[in-house]
Amino acid sequence: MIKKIINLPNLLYVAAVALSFLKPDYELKSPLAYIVVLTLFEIAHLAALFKDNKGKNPNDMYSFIFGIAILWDLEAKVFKNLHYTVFPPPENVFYIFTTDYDRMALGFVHSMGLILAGVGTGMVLGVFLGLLIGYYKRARQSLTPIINVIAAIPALVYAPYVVAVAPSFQSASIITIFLGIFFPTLMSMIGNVAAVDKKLVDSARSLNLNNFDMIFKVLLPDCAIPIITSLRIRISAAFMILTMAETIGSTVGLGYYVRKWSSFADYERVFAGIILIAVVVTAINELIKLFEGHTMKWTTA
Amino acid sequence: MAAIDIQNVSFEYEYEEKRYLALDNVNLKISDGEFVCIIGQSGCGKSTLVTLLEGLQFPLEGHILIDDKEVDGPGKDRCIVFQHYSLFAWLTAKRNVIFGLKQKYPKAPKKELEHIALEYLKKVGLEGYENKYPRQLSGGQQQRVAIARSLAMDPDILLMDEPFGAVDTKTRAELQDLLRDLCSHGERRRTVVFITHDVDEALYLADRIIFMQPRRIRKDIQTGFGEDRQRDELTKSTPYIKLRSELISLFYEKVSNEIAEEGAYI
Repeated sequence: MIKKIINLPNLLYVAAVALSFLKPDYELKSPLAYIVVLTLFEIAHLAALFKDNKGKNPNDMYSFIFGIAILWDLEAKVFKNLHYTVFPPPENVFYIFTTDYDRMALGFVHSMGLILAGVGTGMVLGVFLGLLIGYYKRARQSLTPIINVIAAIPALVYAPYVVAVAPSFQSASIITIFLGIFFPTLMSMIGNVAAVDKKLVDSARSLNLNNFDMIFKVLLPDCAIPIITSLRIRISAAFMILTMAETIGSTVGLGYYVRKWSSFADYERVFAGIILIAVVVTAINELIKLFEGHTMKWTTA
Repeated sequence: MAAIDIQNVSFEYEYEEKRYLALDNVNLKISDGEFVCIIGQSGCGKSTLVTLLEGLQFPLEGHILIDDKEVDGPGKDRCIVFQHYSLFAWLTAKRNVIFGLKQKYPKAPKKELEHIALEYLKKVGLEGYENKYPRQLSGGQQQRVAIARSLAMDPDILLMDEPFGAVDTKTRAELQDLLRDLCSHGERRRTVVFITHDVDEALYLADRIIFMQPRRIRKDIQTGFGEDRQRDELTKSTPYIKLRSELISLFYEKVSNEIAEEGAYI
């Protein structure tokens, strides 16, 4: 019990909170938001301590988190190797969330819409065509080399062109994300289908399956694991493309938020925007994991 | 009912742009209801022969007839069970069986198919395991599901490519008894073509044993052990011991020939 109260992460938490009240020689915004964030981590830490962890020690991770918070605060307020406008203290960064939440929410909705549209169409079409091309040997042999070349082009390269040509910024972003998702998905899907065990395919054929059932009831579920695994990588890639596209020609969005405030040298908002993107990507990944656990019971049951 | 007629069949396969002859002018007639074991060393062409029978591949030359009709692809009269990877990992045992049934009876109501599936799972001793996924089952249980799926489709011909090759000795004996119960006597006799490299397995199961040497049939033996053979008595009987040593010596003859051939090159 004593160990659960007096341990390194808890001491660091207390130190971090105490440090947040230290006033530097410039204007410090209300540390309340920052303390709330620290406290949320502390609650998560305590919850982890009182839960059965199956041999995993949660202390190390939270020691790191609070340690980094303290170092950040110390650097910005005490050591000041970098000027506070370039390297703002965490109090000021998290304060932004309490003033800018409406703009952030708008940017979030806007960016998510583009990502979902681009990733959704790219994944669905990539998986669907990949199944077909992978299944038909002639199509596979003739198209794979071409697809490999196209998939090797980073989608960011044609972002400026698409932004210039497309009728609106929304459509340009969706097209660019689509291109960045579709070709890699198609390429890996063809490989996945080709790698399905021949014995499984023969077994299925011996049950007199028609081509439709073969492709959608045997090959598709057999490739489910790599598809879902790649979904996570694709979402991160889509964010990269989107932020790039948003920095070229948007007036709203998470990437635009970061870009705009960097050109104003408002690094408090830049930091806040980066943290927001990290939180959003992590949340999406957690959602995918949940979905994975739900639909893929057969791999873990 | 189905009889198999393999006429002058040759088959080549391609590997890294070279062609290898896998079967060379093979002739074999199997009559309806016969339990035939094909044995021989690895790479003698026995698996190839079974994939041709199933219609997964086609002979380069010659013909394969089933009831006087040329095999032109997988058919509803035949089912194949492999050593591994026969089951769909994302379906439960019951759904695996239903999946096969649906292909054979696309219009049948779901309830009825489920009923048949449960009946066959019970027959192979898997009552209570209907809702398990393949990875929750042992290797032997997975093969039971594969057998249930095949038999539920009520094929005239059951093709088995070393189906018990990866299970332990005790389970293997149980599965052999199960297979004999379900295919070799009782209400429904089926034609079974069973591939193995285990001499004892072939002797216990088969009415007839085909010994293959690479690319062709070396020997065709009727076991004549009868339908109600008992494992203990059978393995101690003189005809069994005689036949067993004959088959073993066929395996060794092959090996000593190879050694002699290799010697000739030096």
